[in-house]
Amino acid sequence: MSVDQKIQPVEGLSMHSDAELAARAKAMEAILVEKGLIGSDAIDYMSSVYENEVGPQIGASIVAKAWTDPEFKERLLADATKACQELGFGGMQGEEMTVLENTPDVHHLVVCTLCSCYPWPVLGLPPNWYKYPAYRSRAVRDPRGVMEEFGLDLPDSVEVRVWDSSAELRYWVLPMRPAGTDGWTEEQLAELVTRDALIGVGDVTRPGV
Amino acid sequence: MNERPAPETKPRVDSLVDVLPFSDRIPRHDGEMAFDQAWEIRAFAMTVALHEELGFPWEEFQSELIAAIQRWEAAQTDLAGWSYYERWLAALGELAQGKGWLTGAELDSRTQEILDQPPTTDHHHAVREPVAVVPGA
Repeated sequence: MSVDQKIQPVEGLSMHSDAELAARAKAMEAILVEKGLIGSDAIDYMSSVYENEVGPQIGASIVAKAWTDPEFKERLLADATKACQELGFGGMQGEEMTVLENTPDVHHLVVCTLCSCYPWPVLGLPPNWYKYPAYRSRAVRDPRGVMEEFGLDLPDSVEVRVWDSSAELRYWVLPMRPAGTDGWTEEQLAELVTRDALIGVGDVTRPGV
Repeated sequence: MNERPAPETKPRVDSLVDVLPFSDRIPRHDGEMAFDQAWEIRAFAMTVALHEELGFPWEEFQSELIAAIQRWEAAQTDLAGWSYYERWLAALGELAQGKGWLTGAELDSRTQEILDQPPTTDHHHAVREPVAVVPGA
């Protein structure tokens, strides 16, 4: 089902928009958790089984294009919303996206400090940890510590900047292209780009390095 | 924080999905289950977690899903137009009520409460500067 497509109303049911269905799913979870029938952590665990499948393939392909097409990269960094629309990706009405470029001197990390604002038309659904209070607060207080937990050990010389995504403006990261990938096709490069790298808790490495 | 599911979990969940009615209608991407909306994956995960934690037979959910799809087909002329996860959520609601986990009235009033809350009230402005900068040493 596409984002814009409304679900057909069903006789005897008043649910007919995604907002209403989302509220119903949330209400059901809240009641079941309050009554002690199920824990949120058990639901988080089960959702993690498939959440990678929704995955950041679109974001990865945009990164690969930016690595191989300098003019596109310039447009992406200048206005990510427009550059993504140019490739046919978008769908967040009235909402803005900004892409932050990692360099050897500056590394970007994205968080939503209040909830879980996330550029999902490009990156897919956010991982569970993105919504956890532990990530939301520690990413701001101790970004290097958080990145280390994800296995990213940046040189001390690198400056870390943390950006707060909101409903109005959502960030994602253009990671550095790994060395030794000259002549690779966009498809090959896209394979290397992980969701963690697009959020900034990881970087992109060449296999076997 | 960065936990990955145990490797044996996915085949177990896949086997539950394989026996669902109209499984050819489950939205997929490259053969794997795909979710367009956050609530869809939440409804899916909630159902599987309830099955595993409370131990009710999976067939009970299967039957509710078949019934929910049949209710749709009985009420609509466009038999192909249903959404898998909208019907999924309806089936889960019926199962939960049948089990006495919640009542329809409870669910409706809680849903309305959530709908009445303005979405992300505090987070509707763009934050254009970094919220933290850790300079390089």
